[in-house]
Amino acid sequence: METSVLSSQSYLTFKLDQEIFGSSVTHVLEILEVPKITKVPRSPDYLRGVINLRGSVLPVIDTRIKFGLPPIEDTVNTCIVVLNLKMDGQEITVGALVDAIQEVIEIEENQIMPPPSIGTSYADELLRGMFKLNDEFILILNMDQLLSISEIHQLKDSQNLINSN
Amino acid sequence: MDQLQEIFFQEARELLAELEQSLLDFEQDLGNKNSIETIFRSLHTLKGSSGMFGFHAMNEFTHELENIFEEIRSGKSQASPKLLEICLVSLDHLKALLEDHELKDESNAARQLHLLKQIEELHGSKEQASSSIHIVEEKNDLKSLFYIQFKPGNDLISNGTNPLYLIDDLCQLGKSWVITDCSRLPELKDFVADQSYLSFEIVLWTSSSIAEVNDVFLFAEGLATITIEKVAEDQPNESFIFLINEAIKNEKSIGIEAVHKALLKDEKSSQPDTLKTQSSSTQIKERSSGSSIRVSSEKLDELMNLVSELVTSQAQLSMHAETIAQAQLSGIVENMEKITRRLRDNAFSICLLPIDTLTIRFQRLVRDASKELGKEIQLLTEGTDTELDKSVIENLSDPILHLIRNCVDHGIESLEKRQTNGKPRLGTIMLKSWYSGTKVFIEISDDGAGINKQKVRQKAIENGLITEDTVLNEQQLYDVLFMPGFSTAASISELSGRGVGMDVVKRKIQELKGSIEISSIEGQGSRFTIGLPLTLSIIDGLLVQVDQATYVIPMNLVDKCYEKPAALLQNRVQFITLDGERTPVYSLRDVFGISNQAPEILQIIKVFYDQTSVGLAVDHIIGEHQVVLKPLGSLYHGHNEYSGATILGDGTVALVFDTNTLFNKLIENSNIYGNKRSEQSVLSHL
Repeated sequence: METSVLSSQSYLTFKLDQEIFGSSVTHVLEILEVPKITKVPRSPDYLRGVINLRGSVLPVIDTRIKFGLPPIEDTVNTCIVVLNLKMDGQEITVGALVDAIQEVIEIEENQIMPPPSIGTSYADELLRGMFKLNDEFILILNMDQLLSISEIHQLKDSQNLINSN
Repeated sequence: MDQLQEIFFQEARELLAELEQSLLDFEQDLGNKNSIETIFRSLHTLKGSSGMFGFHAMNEFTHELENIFEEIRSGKSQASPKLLEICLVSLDHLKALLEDHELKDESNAARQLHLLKQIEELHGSKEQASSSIHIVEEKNDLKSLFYIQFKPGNDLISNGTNPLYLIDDLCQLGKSWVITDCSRLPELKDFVADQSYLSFEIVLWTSSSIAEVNDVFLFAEGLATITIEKVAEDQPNESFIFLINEAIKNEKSIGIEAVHKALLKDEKSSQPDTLKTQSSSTQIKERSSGSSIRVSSEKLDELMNLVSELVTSQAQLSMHAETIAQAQLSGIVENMEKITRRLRDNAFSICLLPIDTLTIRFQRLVRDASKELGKEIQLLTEGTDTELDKSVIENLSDPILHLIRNCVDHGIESLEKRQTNGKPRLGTIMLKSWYSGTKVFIEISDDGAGINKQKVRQKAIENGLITEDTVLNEQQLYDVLFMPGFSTAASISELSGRGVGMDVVKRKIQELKGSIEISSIEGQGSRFTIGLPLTLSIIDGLLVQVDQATYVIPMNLVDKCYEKPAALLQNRVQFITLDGERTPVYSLRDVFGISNQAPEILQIIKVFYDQTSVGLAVDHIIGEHQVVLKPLGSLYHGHNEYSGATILGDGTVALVFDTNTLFNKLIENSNIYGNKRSEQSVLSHL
């Protein structure tokens, strides 16, 4: 019994488009309302710009574009999740725009189901697994891969597969 | 303890650097008393502190070296080139000892033994050679008789000072008699190994002054009771020596009174000039009363961060004070702004180091390398008091080392060749440094053979870097030298020519946001010029607005601002006559791909670029602003046209231009910002 207690972890769930995603809270530093974002001209689309996070400059990723979802106007629910990620062995802090924050839930390791095997290679890298909460699936993300992959169109396809199943 | 050791290592490194400098100075001028003193003092301190921290190998080694210099200092022996050679090798050994203080590495241990032997030989031969002069000198010199009482306290040994070394040092000063008092020695069962139970009385006949005798006990200060007294100026007579010899035999102390009495009784004519000094710290402290303190670089970084935040808050305060427009408040805010500015400048200057701190290493390199290659080369420096940020200095050392190495190896010709070419035997490498605007320039030049362009070209073709029919102008050809995998050295030597190097030099300098240029005249020498930004993370900037966004242009690059109707600027870039000068002007709106309606009047800012000026058209000029540069982070890695971002008074972020890179990008790599043929023709005039 003890081992299962040890392997339970907290996950922050958030909404992007129609889907609910989960990120281990160990990556999450804080959640912000969207302030004025300064665009950096001529940078990739998925980089929305930079914001002032209490005196330091924080780059903000438009997660929708990064995940290949259609861009929408920011709403009152739109939030920035400040994440601490590893990229090329370096720790960096970035903000990720999400449609809405849901809640923090406890998930035991053995309740996480493996991601569908029909996905493509990098969906596999990004998707750690799935968790079924009530009637909805939560897609658990491997956050360290968020920046390492260039674009994630395929992720959407794999979601469609899951949904149709 | 670890922390203390770290302090020791830091200090030791500095001492070794000082030692290296003075040894090199000493080599230039063997009669220089000052360098001997510095060398001796460095060795002495090193010996003391290494002993204190229990680095025995180092302690022993420095002790031997010190002995040699003690003799040179007191004029008993002469320095020879061979001695210096050994000393310099020893110095390298000491550096190795810092890494491997327990002599775990066998090669280090072997070297230590070898060097110790060499030092001993040197020592021995000196003594023989100079013994005859020695005696003559002894009679002529003004000597005096000291009576020294040395009672080690309980903590002396546990603090790492070996009392025997101290006595040994004393004995080096002249003829001496040591009386050991063993009366305090306890029973074996009560004996504590790191306590000192012995006390000593030393009678010393020496030409040294009382201060020099005092110096020996520098590290025992406060840990032992030390009395030094000058008892006579005549040579001790036989009955006095007899008295002392008796005392030594009986291991019985004699005491100062007995010494006085013995001297008075037999030498009635003598008038001892008694000068008593308790070995108190007063006299010694005076000498070492430095006006600097050691601060860890983390604390400095913290200070810089705080100052940066203060500057940001100050900007916010100023902005709000302006909107409130209350006379009293504005006064205070204005005053605070002045203070903040001064504090900022002050905090910056703390983090600056002169290039001087590097030159010792270069001098050593030139010396060693030229000897090895059988060349005669001097390194001259100019303007090495030019200061740079400490982080830049640290990263600059390797590239410059490499350039100098190249000069020694490839630049300066062999002795014969220099002679046939009618050049002086002594080759010269010049290290020059100066400020220019917001940049610091470092120039390394030699009077050697220069760069053989034909050879460079051939080599580049051989290595497949360029093809036979590539047309290169002079500067482009030199740029080939910076390509990875290029090396013209016919044979791979110890010094350079491994084919890695110049490309690494260039990369390192670019990492520091600097640039490097080569110029060379065949047969007369080559010159490498490194330009570096003053690397200030707080700068004065001009706030400008383009569409919705605010940008900052570094103030020191801004020449002048002009107001022109927008209709004048139809293209992304075109020539506009500003103050009678045709100047290429970029529209930032077009560069950034902003398509909405531009204001009717554009502001054109003339910015210095290289030798000329380039105009930047913006919507509005907001004003001057003190800018704290914050890095954009690795996600914006490719965007080096911004040197960073800054936070404005209202909390929003503004990007700070690195205009040089911006223009470089616009000109060289115009496809980043879209390619236009008209642009090329305009830019070719630049």
